[in-house]
Amino acid sequence: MATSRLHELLPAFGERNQVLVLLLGLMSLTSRWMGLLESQARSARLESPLSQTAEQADPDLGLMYFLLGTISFSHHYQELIRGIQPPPATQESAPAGSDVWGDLRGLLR
Amino acid sequence: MTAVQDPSLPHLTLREENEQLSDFLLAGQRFLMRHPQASRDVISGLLEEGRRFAQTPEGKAWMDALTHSELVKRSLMIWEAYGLDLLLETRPAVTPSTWLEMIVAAMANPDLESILSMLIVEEMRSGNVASA
Repeated sequence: MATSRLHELLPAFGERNQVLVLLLGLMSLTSRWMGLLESQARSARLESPLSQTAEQADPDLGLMYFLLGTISFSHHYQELIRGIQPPPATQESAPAGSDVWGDLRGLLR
Repeated sequence: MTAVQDPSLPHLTLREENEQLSDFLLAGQRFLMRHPQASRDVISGLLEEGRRFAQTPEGKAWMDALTHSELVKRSLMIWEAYGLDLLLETRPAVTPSTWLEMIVAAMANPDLESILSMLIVEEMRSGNVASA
């Protein structure tokens, strides 16, 4: 997801709904975090094609569970946010010429 | 001005970069010291969520991939420096995703406003929240 585009949308929400700003901020954070971990997972798979057995790996369980927890939470959060539909009243009160909900849905697709 | 970097050439790491890193790590350490209970709750909640996620095929695939990541191996230094492994002993019943589901359920509840009002009144009566 284009997080920079998401950041551009934040001011449009800004003064109208702080909860939405918080939700979007967390969406941006989880997207960036997932992007970082996905790139790490990809490069680790490319660099260690033969080291896929548990014997060769010695993960620190604490750190690994923490990272897995952030992944699980990020997935869960992003699914929930994607499922949110804009209330009609919010669409009507959007500033003229802007369709933030439409833009947001496009970004989250 | 844009500098062209040749990875084959030796490069100089400026002192300021390390100072920035030190500042960041110090800020993290101070945050943990100032908010020990909140930090512990959040981190142990994520640990529990990760423990459960690790039991799923998707979680196992992630774990396998990240185990071989150099960046993850290096981040272990930060993890150990902050002594976060101690939190493994804590097993909270509620994970962050469960909290999230409860919050979303609360937002969708038509009685949310009256429930919140009732809670605030009860907290004021018990002295946990000061009246305005």
